[in-house]
Amino acid sequence: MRRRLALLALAAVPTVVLAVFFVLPVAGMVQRGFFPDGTFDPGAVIEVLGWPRTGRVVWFTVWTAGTATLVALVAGLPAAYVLYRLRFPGRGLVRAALLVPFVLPTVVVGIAIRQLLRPGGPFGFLGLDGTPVAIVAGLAFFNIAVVIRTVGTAWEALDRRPAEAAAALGASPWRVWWTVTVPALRPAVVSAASVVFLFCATGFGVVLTLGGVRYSSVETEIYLLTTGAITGVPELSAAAALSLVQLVSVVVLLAVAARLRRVPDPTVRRVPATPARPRRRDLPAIAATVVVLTAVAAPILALVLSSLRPDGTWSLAAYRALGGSGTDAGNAIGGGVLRVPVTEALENSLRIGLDATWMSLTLGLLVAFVVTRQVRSPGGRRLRALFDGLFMLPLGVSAVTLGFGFLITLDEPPLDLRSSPVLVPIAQALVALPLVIRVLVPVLAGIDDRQRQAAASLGAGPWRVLRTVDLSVLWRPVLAAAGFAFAVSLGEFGATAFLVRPETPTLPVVIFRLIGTPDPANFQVAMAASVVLATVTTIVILAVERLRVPGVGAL
Amino acid sequence: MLEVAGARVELGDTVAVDDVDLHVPTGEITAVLGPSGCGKSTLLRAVAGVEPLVAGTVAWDGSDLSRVPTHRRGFALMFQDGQLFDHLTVARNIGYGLRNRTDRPAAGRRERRARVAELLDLVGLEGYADRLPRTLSGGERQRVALARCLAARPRLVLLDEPLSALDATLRERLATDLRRILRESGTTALLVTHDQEEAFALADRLAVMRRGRIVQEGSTRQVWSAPVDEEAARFLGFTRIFAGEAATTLSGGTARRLAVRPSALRAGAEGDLTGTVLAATATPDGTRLLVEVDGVGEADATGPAGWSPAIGDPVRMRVAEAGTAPLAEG
Repeated sequence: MRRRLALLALAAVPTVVLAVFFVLPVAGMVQRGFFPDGTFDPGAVIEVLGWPRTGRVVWFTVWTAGTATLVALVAGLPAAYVLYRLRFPGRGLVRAALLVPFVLPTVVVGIAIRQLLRPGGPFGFLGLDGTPVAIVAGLAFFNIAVVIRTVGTAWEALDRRPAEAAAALGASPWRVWWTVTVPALRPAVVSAASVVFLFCATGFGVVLTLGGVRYSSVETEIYLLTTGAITGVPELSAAAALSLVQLVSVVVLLAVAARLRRVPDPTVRRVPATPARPRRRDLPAIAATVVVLTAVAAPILALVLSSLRPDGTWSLAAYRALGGSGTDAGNAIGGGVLRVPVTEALENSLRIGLDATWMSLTLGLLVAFVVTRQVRSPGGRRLRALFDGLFMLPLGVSAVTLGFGFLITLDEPPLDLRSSPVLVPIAQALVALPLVIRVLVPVLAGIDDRQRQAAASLGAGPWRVLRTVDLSVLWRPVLAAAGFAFAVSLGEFGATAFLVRPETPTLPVVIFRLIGTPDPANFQVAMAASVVLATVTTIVILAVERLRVPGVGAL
Repeated sequence: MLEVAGARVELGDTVAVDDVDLHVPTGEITAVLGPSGCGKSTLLRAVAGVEPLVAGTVAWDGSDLSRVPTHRRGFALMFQDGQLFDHLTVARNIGYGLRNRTDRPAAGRRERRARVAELLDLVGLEGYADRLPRTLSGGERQRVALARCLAARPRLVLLDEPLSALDATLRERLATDLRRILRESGTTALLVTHDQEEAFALADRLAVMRRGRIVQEGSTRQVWSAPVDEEAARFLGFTRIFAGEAATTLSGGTARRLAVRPSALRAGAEGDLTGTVLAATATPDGTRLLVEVDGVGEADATGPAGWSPAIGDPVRMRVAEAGTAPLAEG
């Protein structure tokens, strides 16, 4: 009984935080749509759903996300095989480097792709700048890494003996692939595809930087509607209607994905395969991997190179300009387009990132701890599953919805936080929370409960059990999760764009503002700032990878 | 007949199988017996073709298979834990091999169904066709795995510790069934195990493997009645090795070194050997004794069930020759 109360108390903290800072804002957003004047009036929402532009936006979201998912899958599968089943020098490095695009700030990805495709750029002759193809490329770019990691880790852990059993029964390699390997990989592929589709459909920074007002997904449309960028007037009920559409589709998608994820038979002992030396028949896969890796590296390289060659000659001018606040043609405060120097924005980003990290880590640990406790009653188990799913929601709910919801619900006493600087890290912590939980839960769940029972039977009290059994394996994943949360926070743009105060902007916000001006000098500074942001993120992520926590980045 | 000659397999930096020669005559069951980590499973995998040979050959009836991929060898491999395909029903697991053979036309649907039914019958699992592997018990899974191996009538079945994942009573029952099934179907089989009981129960021929090498090969009876050295003897269930005077006394003067099983010394009212009881454990099948044998030293002995001597009691013993094996002097 006491144990149950303690568990409920532990669960209460993150639940309250989620209720106040997630459910309340999202509900507020939905309410704004259905109760435009305080009375229930779904007419406006229904009307918005009937607009031709809404239909176009939804269709655009679905087809770009679908295509990008397909591209990421096709490109990611051979690379997953090569990077996780074959043994070659430098494999660890490539695997670590592949984590980078996944956490690269979306604004930076947008700029990098544009740098590659803009007229005069290396692929300018294709004439793809400003087309949906660029958006699909951008979405696929940072999701290939998700496919490679999710499918790769599953492939790596795949027991080779069923395949051997099939071969020993006379199945040709082709038949082994279709009857044994594909069914075994299917859950990982499905889960990668659903997560990637989710990321693509809610991708904000990439679509906004590459599509502008012309091409809009549901996510950017919500942003454009709330900021009034389309008609000049904020259209809140239209934004709320779209948020609702998004919320419902995300919940459905997450539920379907959870259904499709098959639980392996726990009674069979699994022996992961040791990676093999590359053989002749692996050549096509290796060739495909090289192409994919080049395609992933190209935008980043283009970005770095052109930030170092602002006017066709090697120069650090763009980096020197980071100390300034951009240039403006005339009517700006202090002579620049920004209120603060770019370097100060970086400081803001780091500080906010640290706050977001400890917040999401604290919440994540509590959730992971509660979710992995043994529950005996079926009711308790159902409650636990609900609790688990609840904290996955921020993964799919538009960060823009969240940010906007903060603005409209947390603006009156007792919770008047609108002008409080704490809102930004809280929002970022919630965005990072699902990732943190997904890193911690498998580790905690992987601890055999009998270890705890053994410790207790040897006279260890609950605290000593926690310290000696749980914490001794948990510190690495905790560090890894911290690095992840930090990287996510550094790059977070959707919610931050709403919540950040003009005098303390974060780096992605500054970059977006800089590329919004027509001045090419500002674009150069934005590129330099992107390189700085990407470098910081990369260092954090490579440090995380050094910890070698299994399942990092595999959702 | 399977012939392995000069086989060598390396796993990373270690040599798991070192210059192994092995013969498996057609129609017989051969067991490779060895302690865990001796390389026996690796040898089996090399025969199956899932582990590459660094040197040596694997040949069937004189034709070299070293370069033939696993699925064209016409062998079937059964894993310790079955490795049933979780996502396929029992019937589809068993039928899996029937659609694969490249050396003969694939079986038709009706033919396949008939063969699956025949095999379910053979392994005693009628009515299990539509079950999923996860709903089966350990013993049932092994039966399905065996049926799956036998379905396509492979020229050789490779069994990797087929019974060791099961509990003792089930193991005994399944061992009898396994031998009957393999005999009835006239299958040639190569089995690896660390369990001498399993090897004795199943095999016609025995090869003892140690640290990557085969140290002894012969008929089961040959091997256990004349172990090649002390270490092999201990592995075959001989608990004590006697030398010099003691060996002469126990063997009646024929051996200078003698390996002795606990069942070799029968304690009771009569016998030519005398001694003193040091410890006694009564079991339903008989009494296990530790005895100080005059002129020999400490030795294990067995007595009739229901007899419980006290410590210090004098006993008489006779030697049952089947429980002893002479060793070369070393």
